[in-house]
Amino acid sequence: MRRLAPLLFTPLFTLALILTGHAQNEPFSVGDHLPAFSMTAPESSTHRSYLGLSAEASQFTLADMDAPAVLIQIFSMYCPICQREAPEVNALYAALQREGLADMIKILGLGAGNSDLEVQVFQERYDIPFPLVSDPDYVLHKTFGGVGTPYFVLVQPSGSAENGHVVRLSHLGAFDSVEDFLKEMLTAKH
Amino acid sequence: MRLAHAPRLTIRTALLLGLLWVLLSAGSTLAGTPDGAKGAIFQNPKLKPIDSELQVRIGDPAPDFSLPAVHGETIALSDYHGRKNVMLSFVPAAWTPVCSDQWPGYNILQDIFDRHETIILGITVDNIPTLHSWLQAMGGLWFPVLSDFWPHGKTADAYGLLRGDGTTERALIFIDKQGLIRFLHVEDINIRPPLEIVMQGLQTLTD
Repeated sequence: MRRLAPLLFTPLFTLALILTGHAQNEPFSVGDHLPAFSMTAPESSTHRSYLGLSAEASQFTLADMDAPAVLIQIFSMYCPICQREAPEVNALYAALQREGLADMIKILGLGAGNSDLEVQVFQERYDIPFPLVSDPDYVLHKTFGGVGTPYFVLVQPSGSAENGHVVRLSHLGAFDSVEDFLKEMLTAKH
Repeated sequence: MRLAHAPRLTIRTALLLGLLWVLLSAGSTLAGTPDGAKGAIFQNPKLKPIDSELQVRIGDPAPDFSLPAVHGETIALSDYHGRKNVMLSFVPAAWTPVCSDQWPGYNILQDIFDRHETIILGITVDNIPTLHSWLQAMGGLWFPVLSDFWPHGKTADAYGLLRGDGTTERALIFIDKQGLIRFLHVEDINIRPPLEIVMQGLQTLTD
C-alpha cells in the first residue's frame, strides 16, 4: 500500500500539469523563445504599413513583420491599469519616433479576451497610434502564459525560422517612466 | 496502529494534493484584473453556465426595487422613470475574477451611456462593506453599485436571476424611460459579456 501512494500521486500530478499547462501566471524570462502564433491583420492601411504587411494579408506572424525588434503589450480594455497607462504607452511610441527608432522597435498590442469592438473602443478612447489586435478567446493570451495585464515583452528574431523570436525584456505591470523603460529596451535589444 | 494507518493517509494525502493542484490552477484568467486586487481575488472553479429561469421578457414592465447603494443612498428603479434609461448589470459575486474585470471596462464608456441617456445600476448579492472594499480595489466606478444582500437576492429573484447557490446570473437588462424591458441578456456565468452585447442593448433604447 505504501508503494501505491507515489504511484497514485505521480499520474495525478502529471494530469494536473497537463490540465493546467496554459493556466500559469508566469511571464517569459529573458532568453526564452516565443511559441509560434498568428494574428488577424489589422484593417487600417496605416497599421498594415507600420507592420510591413501586404494589403492582402488576413493573418500574420511576428516573422512577417518588418522589424528588428517588437515590443508586444498584452492589455485589456477592462483593465484599469491598462486604461491609466495608455497615455504613457503612447508617449513611449512617440519617444521612439522622436529618437529615430521607429523602424528599429515597433509596438504591437494584443487585447487579451477583447473582441474587435472592445479593441476599437480602447484604441479610439486613448488615441493609440500603433496597431492593436483582438484576442477574444484568449488564444494569444494563453501563448503568453496567461499573464496579468499589462504585460510587455520585447522580442527579436532569433536568426533561425525554427527558433522564432527570442525574448530580450519581460516586464509585468505598468512601467515607472517612459524614459527609463526606453533605456531598458535599448539596453536589452541586441 | 500508526503504522497500519500511515499508508492510507499517504494515499489520501496524495489524492488531495493532486485534486488541490487541479482546483487551484483552474479558474478564470487574470487579464484585466486590477493589480491591487489580484492577490485578493478568489479563483472559483468553472460553474454551471446558467442556473435559474428568467421571470421577465422583452416588453414586460421591469419589476421595481429599492436597494441600498454602496455610496450611501437608497436607489429605486422607479427613480429613473421618465428621466433615464437603465442598464441593470447583475454580476454573481464580489472578489471573483470575471466580475472584477467587467465593471472597470464600463468606466471608459460613460460618454457612450450618456449619449444613450442611460445609467448603469450594478447589482450583486454581496453586502455593503464587502462591496465597498471591492470597489476601492477596482479603483472606483462612475455608476452606482447596489446591494441585493437582504432580503437575500430578492431583486434578482424577481427577475429570475437568482442561482441555486445564492449568487446571481451574469445578466444585462435594458429598461427604457417608461420602465419597460427592451433587451435582456443572460451570459454564461464564467464569461464576460462582450461589448457588442452592451451596444446592442443600448441601441434598442434609442431605436
